[in-house]
Amino acid sequence: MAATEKVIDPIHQFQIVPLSGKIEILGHDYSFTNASLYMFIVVGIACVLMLYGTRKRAVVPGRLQAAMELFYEFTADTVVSTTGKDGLRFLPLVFSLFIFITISNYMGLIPGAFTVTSHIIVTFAFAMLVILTVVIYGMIRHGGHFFGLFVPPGVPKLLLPFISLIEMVSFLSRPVSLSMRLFANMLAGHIALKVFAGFIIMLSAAGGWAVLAPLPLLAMVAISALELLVCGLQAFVFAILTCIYLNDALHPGH
Amino acid sequence: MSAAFRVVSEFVAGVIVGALLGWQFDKWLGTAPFALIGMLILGTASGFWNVYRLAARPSSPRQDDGR
Repeated sequence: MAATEKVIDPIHQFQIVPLSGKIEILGHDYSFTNASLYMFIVVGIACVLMLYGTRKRAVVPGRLQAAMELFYEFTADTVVSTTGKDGLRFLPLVFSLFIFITISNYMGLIPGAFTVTSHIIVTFAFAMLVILTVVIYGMIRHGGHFFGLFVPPGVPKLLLPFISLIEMVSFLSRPVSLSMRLFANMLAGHIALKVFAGFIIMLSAAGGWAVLAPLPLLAMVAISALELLVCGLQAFVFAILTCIYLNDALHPGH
Repeated sequence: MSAAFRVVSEFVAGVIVGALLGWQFDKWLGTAPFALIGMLILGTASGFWNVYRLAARPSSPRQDDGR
Protein backbone atom coordinates (compact mmCIF):
# COMPACT_ATOMS: atom_id res chain seq x y z
CA MET A 1 0.00 0.00 0.00
CA ALA A 2 2.66 2.51 1.00
CA ALA A 3 5.04 1.49 -1.75
CA THR A 4 2.57 1.86 -4.58
CA GLU A 5 1.08 5.18 -3.59
CA LYS A 6 4.24 6.68 -2.11
CA VAL A 7 2.23 7.65 0.92
CA ILE A 8 2.76 6.20 4.35
CA ASP A 9 -0.60 5.76 5.93
CA PRO A 10 -0.44 4.57 9.53
CA ILE A 11 -4.21 4.24 9.79
CA HIS A 12 -4.57 1.86 6.86
CA GLN A 13 -4.03 -1.20 9.04
CA PHE A 14 -7.29 -0.58 10.88
CA GLN A 15 -9.47 -0.60 7.77
CA ILE A 16 -12.24 -3.15 7.73
CA VAL A 17 -12.52 -4.88 4.39
CA PRO A 18 -15.41 -7.18 3.57
CA LEU A 19 -14.08 -10.52 2.40
CA SER A 20 -17.37 -12.00 1.29
CA GLY A 21 -20.15 -10.48 -0.70
CA LYS A 22 -22.58 -8.23 1.09
CA ILE A 23 -24.76 -10.20 3.48
CA GLU A 24 -27.76 -8.29 4.72
CA ILE A 25 -30.12 -9.55 7.40
CA LEU A 26 -33.02 -7.29 8.40
CA GLY A 27 -31.27 -4.26 6.96
CA HIS A 28 -28.07 -4.74 8.94
CA ASP A 29 -24.75 -5.44 7.31
CA TYR A 30 -23.46 -8.86 8.36
CA SER A 31 -20.72 -9.21 5.76
CA PHE A 32 -17.79 -11.43 6.63
CA THR A 33 -14.89 -9.01 7.07
CA ASN A 34 -11.23 -9.30 7.93
CA ALA A 35 -12.20 -8.50 11.53
CA SER A 36 -14.51 -11.52 11.62
CA LEU A 37 -11.81 -13.66 10.03
CA TYR A 38 -9.28 -12.66 12.69
CA MET A 39 -11.79 -13.27 15.46
CA PHE A 40 -12.28 -16.78 14.14
CA ILE A 41 -8.53 -17.24 13.96
CA VAL A 42 -8.12 -16.04 17.55
CA VAL A 43 -10.83 -18.37 18.83
CA GLY A 44 -9.28 -21.18 16.81
CA ILE A 45 -5.83 -20.57 18.30
CA ALA A 46 -7.30 -20.45 21.81
CA CYS A 47 -9.20 -23.71 21.29
CA VAL A 48 -6.25 -25.49 19.72
CA LEU A 49 -3.88 -24.34 22.46
CA MET A 50 -6.19 -25.37 25.27
CA LEU A 51 -7.45 -28.64 23.77
CA TYR A 52 -4.14 -29.75 22.30
CA GLY A 53 -2.22 -28.59 25.36
CA THR A 54 -4.37 -30.54 27.79
CA ARG A 55 -5.15 -33.57 25.58
CA LYS A 56 -2.92 -35.96 27.53
CA ARG A 57 -4.13 -34.91 30.98
CA ALA A 58 -0.75 -35.96 32.27
CA VAL A 59 -0.11 -35.83 36.00
CA VAL A 60 3.35 -34.52 35.25
CA PRO A 61 2.51 -31.92 32.60
CA GLY A 62 4.52 -31.38 29.46
CA ARG A 63 5.68 -27.95 28.41
CA LEU A 64 2.50 -26.82 26.66
CA GLN A 65 0.24 -28.36 29.26
CA ALA A 66 2.23 -26.65 32.02
CA ALA A 67 1.88 -23.31 30.23
CA MET A 68 -1.88 -23.77 29.83
CA GLU A 69 -2.27 -24.85 33.44
CA LEU A 70 -0.28 -21.82 34.53
CA PHE A 71 -2.54 -19.58 32.50
CA TYR A 72 -5.64 -21.18 33.96
CA GLU A 73 -4.45 -21.15 37.56
CA PHE A 74 -3.28 -17.57 37.24
CA THR A 75 -6.76 -16.50 36.15
CA ALA A 76 -8.40 -18.57 38.87
CA ASP A 77 -6.12 -17.02 41.50
CA THR A 78 -6.94 -13.54 40.24
CA VAL A 79 -10.66 -14.26 40.42
CA VAL A 80 -10.47 -15.73 43.92
CA SER A 81 -8.26 -12.99 45.31
CA THR A 82 -10.49 -10.18 44.02
CA THR A 83 -14.00 -11.61 44.36
CA GLY A 84 -13.65 -14.41 46.89
CA LYS A 85 -14.49 -18.09 46.54
CA ASP A 86 -18.03 -17.59 45.25
CA GLY A 87 -16.65 -15.55 42.38
CA LEU A 88 -15.38 -18.76 40.84
CA ARG A 89 -18.68 -19.24 39.02
CA PHE A 90 -17.61 -16.34 36.82
CA LEU A 91 -14.28 -17.95 36.02
CA PRO A 92 -15.42 -19.15 32.56
CA LEU A 93 -16.44 -15.61 31.61
CA VAL A 94 -13.26 -13.98 32.91
CA PHE A 95 -11.06 -16.71 31.46
CA SER A 96 -12.66 -16.51 28.00
CA LEU A 97 -12.34 -12.74 27.93
CA PHE A 98 -8.75 -12.90 29.16
CA ILE A 99 -7.58 -15.51 26.66
CA PHE A 100 -9.41 -13.89 23.75
CA ILE A 101 -7.99 -10.45 24.47
CA THR A 102 -4.49 -11.77 25.13
CA ILE A 103 -4.35 -13.75 21.91
CA SER A 104 -5.90 -11.04 19.78
CA ASN A 105 -3.49 -8.45 21.22
CA TYR A 106 -0.52 -10.63 20.41
CA MET A 107 -1.95 -11.51 16.99
CA GLY A 108 -1.91 -7.83 16.19
CA LEU A 109 1.84 -7.68 16.72
CA ILE A 110 2.44 -10.01 13.79
CA PRO A 111 3.20 -7.74 10.84
CA GLY A 112 0.32 -7.59 8.41
CA ALA A 113 -2.18 -9.00 10.88
CA PHE A 114 -5.35 -7.25 11.91
CA THR A 115 -5.85 -6.26 15.53
CA VAL A 116 -9.38 -7.07 16.61
CA THR A 117 -9.06 -5.21 19.92
CA SER A 118 -8.01 -1.96 18.22
CA HIS A 119 -11.64 -1.33 17.32
CA ILE A 120 -13.66 0.35 20.03
CA ILE A 121 -16.84 -1.47 19.11
CA VAL A 122 -15.21 -4.81 19.92
CA THR A 123 -13.83 -3.71 23.29
CA PHE A 124 -17.06 -1.87 24.08
CA ALA A 125 -19.03 -5.03 23.39
CA PHE A 126 -16.80 -6.86 25.90
CA ALA A 127 -17.24 -4.10 28.46
CA MET A 128 -21.01 -4.06 28.02
CA LEU A 129 -21.06 -7.84 28.41
CA VAL A 130 -19.24 -7.47 31.71
CA ILE A 131 -21.36 -4.61 33.01
CA LEU A 132 -24.64 -6.24 31.98
CA THR A 133 -23.53 -9.41 33.74
CA VAL A 134 -22.82 -7.35 36.84
CA VAL A 135 -26.17 -5.56 36.73
CA ILE A 136 -28.33 -8.58 35.89
CA TYR A 137 -26.61 -10.94 38.29
CA GLY A 138 -26.57 -8.30 41.03
CA MET A 139 -30.29 -7.68 40.57
CA ILE A 140 -31.16 -11.39 40.61
CA ARG A 141 -29.00 -12.18 43.60
CA HIS A 142 -29.54 -9.10 45.76
CA GLY A 143 -32.67 -7.45 44.37
CA GLY A 144 -33.06 -3.87 45.51
CA HIS A 145 -30.14 -4.26 47.85
CA PHE A 146 -27.92 -4.09 44.77
CA PHE A 147 -28.58 -0.35 44.62
CA GLY A 148 -26.77 -0.03 47.92
CA LEU A 149 -23.82 0.27 45.56
CA PHE A 150 -24.86 3.85 44.94
CA VAL A 151 -25.13 4.75 48.61
CA PRO A 152 -21.67 4.79 50.13
CA PRO A 153 -21.66 4.35 53.90
CA GLY A 154 -20.88 7.20 56.27
CA VAL A 155 -22.08 10.05 54.09
CA PRO A 156 -23.99 12.95 55.69
CA LYS A 157 -27.74 13.04 54.84
CA LEU A 158 -27.40 16.42 53.19
CA LEU A 159 -24.80 15.23 50.69
CA LEU A 160 -26.37 11.84 50.02
CA PRO A 161 -28.46 12.65 46.89
CA PHE A 162 -25.53 14.40 45.32
CA ILE A 163 -23.06 11.63 46.13
CA SER A 164 -25.48 8.97 44.83
CA LEU A 165 -25.82 10.85 41.56
CA ILE A 166 -22.06 11.01 41.24
CA GLU A 167 -21.81 7.31 42.07
CA MET A 168 -24.37 6.54 39.38
CA VAL A 169 -22.50 8.47 36.72
CA SER A 170 -19.31 6.86 37.92
CA PHE A 171 -20.90 3.43 37.55
CA LEU A 172 -22.07 4.29 34.04
CA SER A 173 -18.59 5.46 33.15
CA ARG A 174 -17.14 2.03 33.88
CA PRO A 175 -17.88 0.35 30.56
CA VAL A 176 -16.58 3.43 28.77
CA SER A 177 -13.29 3.52 30.64
CA LEU A 178 -12.92 -0.26 30.46
CA SER A 179 -13.34 -0.36 26.69
CA MET A 180 -11.50 2.88 25.99
CA ARG A 181 -8.38 1.80 27.85
CA LEU A 182 -7.85 -1.39 25.88
CA PHE A 183 -8.81 0.17 22.56
CA ALA A 184 -6.65 3.27 23.00
CA ASN A 185 -3.60 1.27 24.06
CA MET A 186 -3.84 -1.00 21.05
CA LEU A 187 -4.57 1.82 18.62
CA ALA A 188 -1.80 4.08 19.92
CA GLY A 189 0.77 1.30 20.01
CA HIS A 190 0.11 0.18 16.46
CA ILE A 191 0.07 3.71 15.11
CA ALA A 192 3.37 4.44 16.87
CA LEU A 193 4.91 1.34 15.33
CA LYS A 194 3.72 2.29 11.87
CA VAL A 195 4.86 5.91 12.18
CA PHE A 196 8.35 4.93 13.29
CA ALA A 197 8.57 2.37 10.51
CA GLY A 198 7.60 5.15 8.14
CA PHE A 199 10.46 7.30 9.47
CA ILE A 200 12.95 4.60 8.51
CA ILE A 201 11.70 4.53 4.95
CA MET A 202 11.58 8.31 4.63
CA LEU A 203 15.06 8.80 6.09
CA SER A 204 16.70 6.15 3.96
CA ALA A 205 15.17 7.77 0.88
CA ALA A 206 16.42 11.23 1.87
CA GLY A 207 19.98 11.08 0.52
CA GLY A 208 22.56 12.06 3.11
CA TRP A 209 20.05 11.82 5.93
CA ALA A 210 20.06 8.07 5.45
CA VAL A 211 22.84 7.85 8.05
CA LEU A 212 20.17 8.66 10.64
CA ALA A 213 17.90 5.82 9.50
CA PRO A 214 19.14 3.33 12.14
CA LEU A 215 17.85 5.62 14.90
CA PRO A 216 14.13 5.01 14.33
CA LEU A 217 15.02 1.37 13.76
CA LEU A 218 16.40 1.23 17.29
CA ALA A 219 13.29 3.01 18.52
CA MET A 220 11.21 0.41 16.69
CA VAL A 221 12.96 -2.37 18.57
CA ALA A 222 12.29 -0.61 21.86
CA ILE A 223 8.66 0.12 21.01
CA SER A 224 8.10 -3.46 19.91
CA ALA A 225 9.39 -4.65 23.27
CA LEU A 226 7.11 -2.16 25.00
CA GLU A 227 4.18 -3.33 22.90
CA LEU A 228 4.83 -6.93 23.94
CA LEU A 229 4.53 -5.77 27.54
CA VAL A 230 1.48 -3.58 26.92
CA CYS A 231 -0.42 -6.35 25.11
CA GLY A 232 -0.15 -8.75 28.00
CA LEU A 233 -0.66 -6.04 30.60
CA GLN A 234 -3.79 -4.58 29.05
CA ALA A 235 -5.38 -8.01 28.75
CA PHE A 236 -4.59 -8.59 32.40
CA VAL A 237 -5.92 -5.17 33.41
CA PHE A 238 -9.15 -5.91 31.56
CA ALA A 239 -9.48 -9.24 33.34
CA ILE A 240 -8.75 -7.87 36.79
CA LEU A 241 -11.16 -4.94 36.36
CA THR A 242 -13.80 -7.43 35.24
CA CYS A 243 -13.19 -9.24 38.53
CA ILE A 244 -13.42 -6.01 40.52
CA TYR A 245 -16.74 -5.12 38.89
CA LEU A 246 -18.06 -8.64 39.41
CA ASN A 247 -17.10 -8.23 43.04
CA ASP A 248 -19.65 -5.40 43.18
CA ALA A 249 -22.32 -7.77 41.89
CA LEU A 250 -21.43 -10.42 44.45
CA HIS A 251 -20.92 -8.18 47.46
CA PRO A 252 -22.67 -4.83 46.89
CA GLY A 253 -22.47 -2.08 49.47
CA HIS A 254 -19.37 -3.59 51.10
CA MET B 1 2.73 4.15 32.62
CA SER B 2 -0.22 1.82 32.72
CA ALA B 3 -1.26 3.17 36.13
CA ALA B 4 -1.16 6.71 34.78
CA PHE B 5 -3.14 5.62 31.77
CA ARG B 6 -5.72 4.02 34.00
CA VAL B 7 -6.19 7.23 35.97
CA VAL B 8 -6.57 9.26 32.78
CA SER B 9 -9.07 6.87 31.24
CA GLU B 10 -11.17 6.77 34.41
CA PHE B 11 -11.31 10.55 34.50
CA VAL B 12 -12.03 11.00 30.80
CA ALA B 13 -14.70 8.31 30.90
CA GLY B 14 -16.51 10.17 33.69
CA VAL B 15 -16.57 13.37 31.69
CA ILE B 16 -17.63 11.63 28.47
CA VAL B 17 -20.46 9.76 30.13
CA GLY B 18 -21.66 12.96 31.81
CA ALA B 19 -21.65 14.79 28.51
CA LEU B 20 -23.46 11.97 26.69
CA LEU B 21 -26.11 11.70 29.39
CA GLY B 22 -26.67 15.45 29.41
CA TRP B 23 -26.92 15.57 25.66
CA GLN B 24 -29.45 12.77 25.55
CA PHE B 25 -31.50 14.28 28.39
CA ASP B 26 -31.59 17.55 26.49
CA LYS B 27 -32.79 15.79 23.36
CA TRP B 28 -35.37 13.85 25.35
CA LEU B 29 -36.76 16.59 27.59
CA GLY B 30 -36.05 19.55 25.32
CA THR B 31 -34.31 21.51 28.05
CA ALA B 32 -31.86 23.33 25.80
CA PRO B 33 -28.35 23.38 27.24
CA PHE B 34 -29.12 23.04 30.95
CA ALA B 35 -29.05 19.27 31.31
CA LEU B 36 -25.83 19.16 29.31
CA ILE B 37 -24.17 21.73 31.57
CA GLY B 38 -25.42 20.07 34.74
CA MET B 39 -24.50 16.54 33.69
CA LEU B 40 -21.12 17.72 32.43
CA ILE B 41 -20.35 19.12 35.87
CA LEU B 42 -21.64 15.93 37.47
CA GLY B 43 -19.59 13.85 35.06
CA THR B 44 -16.45 15.78 35.88
CA ALA B 45 -17.15 15.32 39.57
CA SER B 46 -17.60 11.59 39.06
CA GLY B 47 -14.37 11.53 37.07
CA PHE B 48 -12.57 13.03 40.06
CA TRP B 49 -14.42 10.58 42.30
CA ASN B 50 -13.16 7.67 40.16
CA VAL B 51 -9.62 8.95 40.39
CA TYR B 52 -9.91 9.50 44.13
CA ARG B 53 -11.20 5.98 44.64
CA LEU B 54 -8.36 4.62 42.55
CA ALA B 55 -5.84 6.53 44.63
CA ALA B 56 -7.50 5.65 47.92
CA ARG B 57 -7.20 1.88 47.34
CA PRO B 58 -4.45 1.21 44.86
CA SER B 59 -4.43 -2.56 45.35
CA SER B 60 -6.40 -5.47 46.79
CA PRO B 61 -9.94 -4.08 46.52
CA ARG B 62 -11.26 -7.05 48.47
CA GLN B 63 -10.02 -5.87 51.84
CA ASP B 64 -11.57 -2.44 51.95
CA ASP B 65 -13.91 -1.74 54.76
CA GLY B 66 -12.82 1.76 55.63
CA ARG B 67 -13.55 4.99 53.76
